Amino acid sequence: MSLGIELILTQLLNALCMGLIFALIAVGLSIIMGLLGIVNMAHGVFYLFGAYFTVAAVSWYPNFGLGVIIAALLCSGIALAVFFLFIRYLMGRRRPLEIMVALIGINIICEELIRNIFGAEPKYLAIPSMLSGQVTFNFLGVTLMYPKYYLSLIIICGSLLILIYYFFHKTDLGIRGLALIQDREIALALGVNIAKLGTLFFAIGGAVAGISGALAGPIFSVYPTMGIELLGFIFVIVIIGGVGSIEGTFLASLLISTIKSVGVLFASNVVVDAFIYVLLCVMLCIRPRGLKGYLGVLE
Amino acid sequence: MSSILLNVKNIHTYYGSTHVLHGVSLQVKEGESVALMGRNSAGKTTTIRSIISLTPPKEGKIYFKGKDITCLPSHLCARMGISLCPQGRRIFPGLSVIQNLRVPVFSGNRDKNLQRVFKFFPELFEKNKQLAGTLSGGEQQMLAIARALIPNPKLLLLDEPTEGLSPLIVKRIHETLNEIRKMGTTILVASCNLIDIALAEKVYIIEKGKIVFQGTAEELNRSHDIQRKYLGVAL
Repeated sequence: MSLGIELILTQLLNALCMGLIFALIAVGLSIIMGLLGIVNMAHGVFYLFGAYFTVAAVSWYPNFGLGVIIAALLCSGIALAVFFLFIRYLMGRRRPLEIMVALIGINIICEELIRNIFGAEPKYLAIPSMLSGQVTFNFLGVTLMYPKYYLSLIIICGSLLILIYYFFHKTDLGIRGLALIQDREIALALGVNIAKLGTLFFAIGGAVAGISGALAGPIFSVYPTMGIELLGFIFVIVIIGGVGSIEGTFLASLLISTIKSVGVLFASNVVVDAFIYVLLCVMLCIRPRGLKGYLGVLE
Repeated sequence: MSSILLNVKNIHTYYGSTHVLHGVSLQVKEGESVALMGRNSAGKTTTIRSIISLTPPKEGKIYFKGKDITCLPSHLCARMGISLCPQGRRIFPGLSVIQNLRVPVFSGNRDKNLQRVFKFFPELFEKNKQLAGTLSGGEQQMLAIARALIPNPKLLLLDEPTEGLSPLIVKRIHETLNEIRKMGTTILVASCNLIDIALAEKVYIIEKGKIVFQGTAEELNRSHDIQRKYLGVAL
């Protein structure tokens, strides 16, 4: 296989697209881990439900955009339910392992629920007709054909991430959230209510992961284990980026997706995935707090 | 005669199973400035932490403005008007100066309070976009004090406000704190640095989790015996 400039450019655009989707899932997980100190093994559930809710919504009323919005709302509702029914109760008991095991349980229950309702075979989610087809670029004498849907994803996910960044750096609620992550005791002593912010961020994290599941549905297929399969990579991203860091999560998402997209030009999928986990181990050895993480966040 | 703002009554506090405070009692009157002196690990920080429930006491009572605030969650203590400038500064390193000052939750006009705080510390205004983690030690201490002043607190708790600072910065911080005192803020300062007695009218000395001396700042200044016995140094 010859490595044309077109192919490399296409793969870089794919990397950007995938990285932005990863970042949407990872940012919620990273914030919740940093804020509440819990390892949310059920975060993949929101991604899973986001995709299936969209499948269901589109079959009921064929409008993809509406489906995505419904999925986002339902996912934040489910996130709130998980938070109030399980996490708040278990956090009161101060046994982190219990929470982790309970969340793995929630993950299994949700997966089986999906398998029972929708069946085990993959579902097909169509690209909305408005966004199907290709766009042709002319860039420095190179002609590039790129799917319109992927390009829209880059714009939509990118805008959402900019919004999230803005929220955490420019609004009082966001700044207080970051303060809690960096030094919980002092933020509390300054009057910040961790229960209120935890609830809010859990709901936002669920909604955003749901949106990315919905948007990724037409590209990757929709199947019951899609959440837990992706969660491994999301954890790698969160740890490499630094738990609780927005910028770190964005950077690590793009790094991992670039390694995945460009790596497959040179090696098999399995080798590339293995390399990512090697990278994780190296990171844990030389810089356990990640690219942009703070010391002592997960004590 | 002014009323008692903070009344700590016979509190016992533990870290896990370690008994740290053995019945500490102290009173701070409204508008008064009180120092809690003692050697390292005598229980000063634990007393401060007990007041705002960062390590809630197992026994004893704490009253603020006459209300029982024993074990009241920390964020609610803050909203009652108690503000903390913690030991080791503990500014939020990844936030800018101005973002640090936006963290405290209070009801009131923030812009007005920001202006007031920047009048005390103009250097913070000049660096308001800079990441707090990149400030010098003295600037970080100023930021920690400024952050505690933003809610315009009734009671300001200062834990080691002059620790590890150059004499010039110490002087600067004392001047500012004295101005704040004059404006009517009640202060409880915990310190092992004898210089900080200059900030107070009344002094408590704590030793191994017990209050062993209580008197005016003048009494302590005169008595070199007490200074040597409990603080290990004399001025």
